[in-house]
Amino acid sequence: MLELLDYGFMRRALVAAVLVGTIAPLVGVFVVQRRMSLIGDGMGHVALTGVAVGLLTGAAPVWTALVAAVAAAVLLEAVRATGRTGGDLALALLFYSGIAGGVVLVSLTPNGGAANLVAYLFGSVTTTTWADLAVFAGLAVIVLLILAVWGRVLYAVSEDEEFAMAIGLPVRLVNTLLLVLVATTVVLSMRVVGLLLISALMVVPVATARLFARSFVRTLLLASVIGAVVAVLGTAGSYYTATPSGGSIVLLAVATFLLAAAAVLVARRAAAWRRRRAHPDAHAHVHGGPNCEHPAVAHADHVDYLHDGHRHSPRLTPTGVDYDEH
Amino acid sequence: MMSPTERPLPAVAQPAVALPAVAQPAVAQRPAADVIAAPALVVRKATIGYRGRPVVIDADLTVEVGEVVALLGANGSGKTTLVRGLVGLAELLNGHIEVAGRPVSARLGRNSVRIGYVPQRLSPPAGIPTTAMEVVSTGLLARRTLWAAGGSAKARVRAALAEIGLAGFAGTPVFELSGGQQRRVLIARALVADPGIVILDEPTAGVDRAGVMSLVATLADLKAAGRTLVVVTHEIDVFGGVVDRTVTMVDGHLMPGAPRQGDVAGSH
Repeated sequence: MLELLDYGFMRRALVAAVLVGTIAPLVGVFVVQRRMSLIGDGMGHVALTGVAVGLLTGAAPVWTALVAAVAAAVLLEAVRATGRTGGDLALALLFYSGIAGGVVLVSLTPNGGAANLVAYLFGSVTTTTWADLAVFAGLAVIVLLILAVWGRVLYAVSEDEEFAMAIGLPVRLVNTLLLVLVATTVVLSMRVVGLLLISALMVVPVATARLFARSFVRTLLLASVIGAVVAVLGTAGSYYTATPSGGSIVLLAVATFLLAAAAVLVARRAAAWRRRRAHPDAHAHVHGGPNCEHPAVAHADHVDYLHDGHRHSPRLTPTGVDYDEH
Repeated sequence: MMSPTERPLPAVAQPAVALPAVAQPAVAQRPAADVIAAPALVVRKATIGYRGRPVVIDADLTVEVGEVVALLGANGSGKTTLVRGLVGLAELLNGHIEVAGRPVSARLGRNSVRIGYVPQRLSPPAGIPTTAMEVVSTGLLARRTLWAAGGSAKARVRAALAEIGLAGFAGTPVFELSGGQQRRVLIARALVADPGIVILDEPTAGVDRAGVMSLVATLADLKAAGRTLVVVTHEIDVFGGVVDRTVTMVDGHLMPGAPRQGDVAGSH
């Protein structure tokens, strides 16, 4: 069953998968909160030029990709902060130059880098060496340290940038930092999920976690766990089905999201149906009106009405009054 | 902890001009002593705008400690620009702003943490669930002198939520709260750093009738606790019982009193 652990390349692949699966959603949660879900995708495009430069010059693609992606991150925030409009266009220009530059440069490599290109675009985790792993682990530690120290400030700026600026937080610096984190995560993840699919591992586990979690911190932690699980299972799956790891991981992440969303929808429908059945006369009258026999109780800033052993809390709706169950 | 008794009482018959600085210890002064000595806010000949272009011209305003001032004016008259200038989101092109006797930096984004700011935004981005406690906690980042804060961060956040009447809602996701409750969470976020003055930009905008009533009650509580407030609003009627004084913005000029008929009409 677990004979895949007998192979050194699979053990390395699984360690890389755990690293990437854990880290990517931790950064992704801030990206989703900023409504920049596609930024990782664009960073992946830019990193491709970096990879191509590495393949062409014989330098380690990890480092050239990191330089390209971080430079793009700093440039992006500078454009965003100073430009009035056209930030969206600047983004598009940068990203498409990135992928075009990557394709052209790779074609110039002597031993035809095409095979290499596919590995970087879609992930080829089984080719990971121990040296690669050490680099990935180092990058992962840097990302974790930055999140540990600056997490609160990142959250505050992502939650309400204007308020953050009003209380004197270095908003531009923090925005640049987030983009640098995204860039680092992209480079850290490119061998596992590939540059074209990185964004999915940052964003999809977050989309799943937010269906269940009720706080930011819990969303962050749950997304990280989901990310690690789908990354490991996807990598193992890619071994058995002989498919690229990136595709397997992302398909699994999306399947998890769809199942979770369906489950939540069914649970909500069922709860609503049970409520209606329990109160066939639901809201036939307005609580507090002349025909209301339900005792009123003060609750925080409003009045609730005791209704078959639980409380009904009035809430104004466009069409009248509705009651929340408390 | 933030109990009302610890708050300085509303000043009676204070001089309009700040007392000489000699009256205060030069260093390590307690914020409370500071607040009692000087008006909570002094705006003198302030010209405020964006990218060098003035919107508010030569504004003068003094708010005493414990006072509640309503800032009225038509849309586009410059109310919001004045508020943004006070909290460092618009440029102070000329003039002088002081909070509790200390000048506010004119540099953008480097502004005072002594002004509590309650922006107009209603629902925080719906992307990631976030609790009232988490939102209010971000207000603590305003307080650079963390060692001066009494009690743990959690206790301070709970006290701020209690102060605006949402004590039981610390763990509730903000998207489950009504519009009025969300506004009050933003008020708690401003209060948690214990600012000398709180500025609310259109607190009733987009809030339903019931929410407006609870907001007014909250502001009355804050006033009773000795808080100093500036409320930017269209709805002076609902705040009638809370507001001590009214100033009106007309085409970038700040005037004492409520708007006259012609002012509002003429500003469009």
